[in-house]
Amino acid sequence: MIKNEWKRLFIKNRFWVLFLGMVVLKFVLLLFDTHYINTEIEEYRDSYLEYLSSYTGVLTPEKDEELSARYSEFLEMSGTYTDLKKQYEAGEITSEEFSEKVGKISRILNNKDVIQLANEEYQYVKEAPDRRYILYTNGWEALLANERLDLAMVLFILFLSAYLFGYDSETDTGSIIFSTVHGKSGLFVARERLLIIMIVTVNAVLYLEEAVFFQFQYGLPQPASPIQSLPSFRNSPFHIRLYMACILMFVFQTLGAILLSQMTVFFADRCRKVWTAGIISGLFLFCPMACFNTETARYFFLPLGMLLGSGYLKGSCEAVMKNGVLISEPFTGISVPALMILLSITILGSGVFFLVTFRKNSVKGSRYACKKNVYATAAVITLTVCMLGIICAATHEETYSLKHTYSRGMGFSDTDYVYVNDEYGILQRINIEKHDNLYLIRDVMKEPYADKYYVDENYIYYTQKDIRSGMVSYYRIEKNSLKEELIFSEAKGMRQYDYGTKYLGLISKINLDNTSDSVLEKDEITDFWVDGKYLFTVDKDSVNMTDHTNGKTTELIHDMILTDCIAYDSGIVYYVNLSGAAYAYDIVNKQYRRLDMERCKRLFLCNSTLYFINTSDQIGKYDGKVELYPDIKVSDTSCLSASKDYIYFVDSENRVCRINLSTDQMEEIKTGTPAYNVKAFRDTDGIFVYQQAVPTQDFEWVFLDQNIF
Amino acid sequence: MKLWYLELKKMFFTRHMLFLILIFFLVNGGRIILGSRYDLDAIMRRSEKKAGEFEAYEQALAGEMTAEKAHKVKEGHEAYFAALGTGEYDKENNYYGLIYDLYRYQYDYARQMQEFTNRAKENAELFDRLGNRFDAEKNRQIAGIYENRFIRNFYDCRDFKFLFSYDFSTLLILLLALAGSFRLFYMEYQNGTQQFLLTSVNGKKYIAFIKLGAYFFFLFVLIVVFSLEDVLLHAVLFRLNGWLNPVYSIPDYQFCIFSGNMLSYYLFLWILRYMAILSISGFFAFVSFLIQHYVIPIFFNIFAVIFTILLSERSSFSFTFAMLLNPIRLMEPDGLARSYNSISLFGRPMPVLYAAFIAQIVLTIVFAALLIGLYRKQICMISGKEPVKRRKVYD
Repeated sequence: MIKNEWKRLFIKNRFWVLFLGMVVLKFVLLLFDTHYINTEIEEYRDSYLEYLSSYTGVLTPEKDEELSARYSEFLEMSGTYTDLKKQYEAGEITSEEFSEKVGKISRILNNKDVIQLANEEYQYVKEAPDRRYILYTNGWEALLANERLDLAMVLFILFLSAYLFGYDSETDTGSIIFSTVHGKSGLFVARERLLIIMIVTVNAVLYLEEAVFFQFQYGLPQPASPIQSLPSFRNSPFHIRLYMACILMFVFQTLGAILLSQMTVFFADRCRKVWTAGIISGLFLFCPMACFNTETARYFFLPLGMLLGSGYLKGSCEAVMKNGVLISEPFTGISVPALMILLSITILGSGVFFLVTFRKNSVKGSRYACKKNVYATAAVITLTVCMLGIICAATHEETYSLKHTYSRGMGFSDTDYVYVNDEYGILQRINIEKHDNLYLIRDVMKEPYADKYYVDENYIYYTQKDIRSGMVSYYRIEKNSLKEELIFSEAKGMRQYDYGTKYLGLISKINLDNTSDSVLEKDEITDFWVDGKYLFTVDKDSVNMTDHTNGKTTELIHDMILTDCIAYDSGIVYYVNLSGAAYAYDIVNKQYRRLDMERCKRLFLCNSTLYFINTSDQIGKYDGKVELYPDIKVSDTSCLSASKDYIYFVDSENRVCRINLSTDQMEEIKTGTPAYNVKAFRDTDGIFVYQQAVPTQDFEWVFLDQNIF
Repeated sequence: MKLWYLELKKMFFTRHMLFLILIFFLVNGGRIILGSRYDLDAIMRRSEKKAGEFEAYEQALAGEMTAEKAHKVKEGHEAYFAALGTGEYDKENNYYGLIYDLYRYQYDYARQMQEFTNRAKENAELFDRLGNRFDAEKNRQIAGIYENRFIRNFYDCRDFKFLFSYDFSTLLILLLALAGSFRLFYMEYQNGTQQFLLTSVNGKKYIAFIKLGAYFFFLFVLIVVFSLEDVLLHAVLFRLNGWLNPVYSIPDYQFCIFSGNMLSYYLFLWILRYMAILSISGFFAFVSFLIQHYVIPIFFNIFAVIFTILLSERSSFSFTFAMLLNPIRLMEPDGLARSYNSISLFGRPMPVLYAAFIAQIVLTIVFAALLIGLYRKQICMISGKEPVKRRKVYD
């Protein structure tokens, strides 16, 4: 009977043409689709492959040593080249000497991009050599990591399922077929079997087509490498090989396709229209696709999640930026139990859809079928399990990836000093080396003012508050390209918000002018910092953590916190409350810990060690136990600020001093006029000192470079 | 053409529909008049004009801006502030005191915009150097839009903003569109005329096309009627002057991305609104055909409208692709046109307003094509026909 149905579909109704059409469509989609791969590697592909050819596979100690040596050699040559260039420019060597010496190293330096790329791969593997192999990853990334709905397969399945089970009802030939000998259960079961066989076959053919395409375009070397070798899967909870990942993806997609087909069969049976059934089933895929920007949410919608597949293997990862270009998007991983629940729901859901349709379409089915109330109970139980599954999966324990640090007065990295101009409130950046001063907020349609700011390795974050509406917006500016984007905004303390008209003129004006000053003050943000996708804000009596990708806010600490008494280090918030007691709050384990410190009025974090100024203006160090620097008294106006090796402060006699972190010795820095505050750089010896300028007698921040030391 | 006219007449120009239009027309008029009485800004502006004490000075100042006039306004403004402490009142100086900011804005506009565009050009150069192509292109677009702008004639055009930001009539048209969609297909089933249409020699595709065309034309007529009412009532209430002055003569429209005069801006706004109405009406028609039932499509469409309105008010959807597809955002085009906002399309910036306009054209075509396609095949989920009962089969 399957053979007859197959002949009817593929020969008589020419489904083979549709099938071929889908294969061609898939090829066209693959040709024109964007594949998120490392384009830099593609640019230097041949040289890159040549460079890595002898190192591919496991990172052995020999390979490690050799790669490290090659890169050191490259760095040395770069240094030599720079020195030679300087000498040549200064006229210390002639052009002939320069050419002769440079000629020897130019071959290696010409290859610098390839060496950099290879070194990145080496560094990536070196982080976890037991789980990562050295590998040319672009082919595998394109095949496994790119989230794409296989449109060709989905269209084929929708049409096949709806046509196979809906066409007879639509043309009213169903009753004739039903009255034949095999037209009852036999035909239904045969069609179902044919459908499943077709789904598996089509999925296999299209998946193979994809693999062959990427094999020819990029190449799929070393299939036995662990999946963590691919940067997109660096945090994957599965310890599997790449070929196994392909098989798992195929299984996910097949299960998703089966669920989709069973849903379509169900709708075709109910609506008795081929197109209607196809469209309704299609909506279950395309609506979540259109509605959810975040990748993770899509994976909780079945059968869409299963058809996409790759996200289940990924694990959590943050956005990876390189030179202002997004290499990989952030992703919240789906835990293994959640995946198991989703798989169970897929299989169970397919079974329920099959049983319901089977019962209606076959005499055998209705004979074996239970009574209606049993079905109703089963349906309710199934729905409950599905809902519980989705809720459990959606509320699975969040995996944090917290690694940044924050402390008021933290030194600035590199050679850039970011500050808000005291007079105008404009966010500016001074480059110490280039001696240029740049306005950072370049959007001409916006005011250039910033309230608070925070700087990390890649971005400068700042806040802007709209006084009328009370809306606080958090922006970030990419350091190299100055590309700005809004990451989050929230209404804080609305005073008077003139909406103008709202809801197409239904509401013309709303004035909320009864908000008291105390409420406004309470909501005022005193500090903020960003760690990955989390935005931490400190107001008068709480510390909140907001996932800026979806706006979900959690209150971490509910306590009155002293000004300048908060620090953060890789998921731990240190703070001092109004009574002067210091605490550490662990975000991941949600635990408080009282720190055995005396009462203090400033808190500062440097190299994971807490420093504080106590109520007697003495500096202390807390590293499990308290150590005071007894001879030092700090000025009332001064904060603590740290570079890599020193902590800077202004003492009670308005002198700038620093403590050497390795020897704990104090040194004084000559500044000429009395100083009132100090800010240090993390990586250079220059400092900013707040003092009275000699010619103008105005108080301003003055930069003192390393020569003063 | 005759068929099209018949469709129009049969479905829309009926007693009930005309009565509904009349009621809505009166409601709209009432809303404009009441709105102008309860809106604080509008009350102040109207009371200033109603007193008519400055009319002569206003007429004297209106027209081409010259250095002499500017000097006169400045002197009058200074004299007005000097007199504030003494309590002396001079009507002319008082007028100059009130109008000074507006006059200075219009007089300085060209220079300010020149500075603004220069800043945008500098930014474009900087972003080019930094390799940030998107922002460089965006700044070049901004410079292109706001370059060479100037205001030649002075008029107190501030009251035009009440007209431009008035959106309530769009809501009424939307409700009428909903009522119209209900008459598109369900009435045919109810009256039993569907069979005649389906067996017509013109073919189903043609019939669907004509029905949709008549529906869209009906909306066009509604827009003409309501827009005329809006403009007439606002012109009477606020005594609007300076129709041919550029729209950026209003300080609130300093960065308006449209550079034409008030009249053309008003027409431009209605073209945008019409496009949004077409798109949402296409959806109404599609749903009304798909679910040919007395109540369900109306509830469904109302729910869809409320949902899209609420969605359009969510700030998190601002300037995203989801927003572009939301017709309600384009139904309030004034807010989008007042300043330059861009969205990234294939890595290039595009003004949000134009992107939304194109998105709505595409949506309208999609809904129309879907409707015509389904009408040809007569594929609908719930039809007015008696549902075919399932035959019970016994073993």
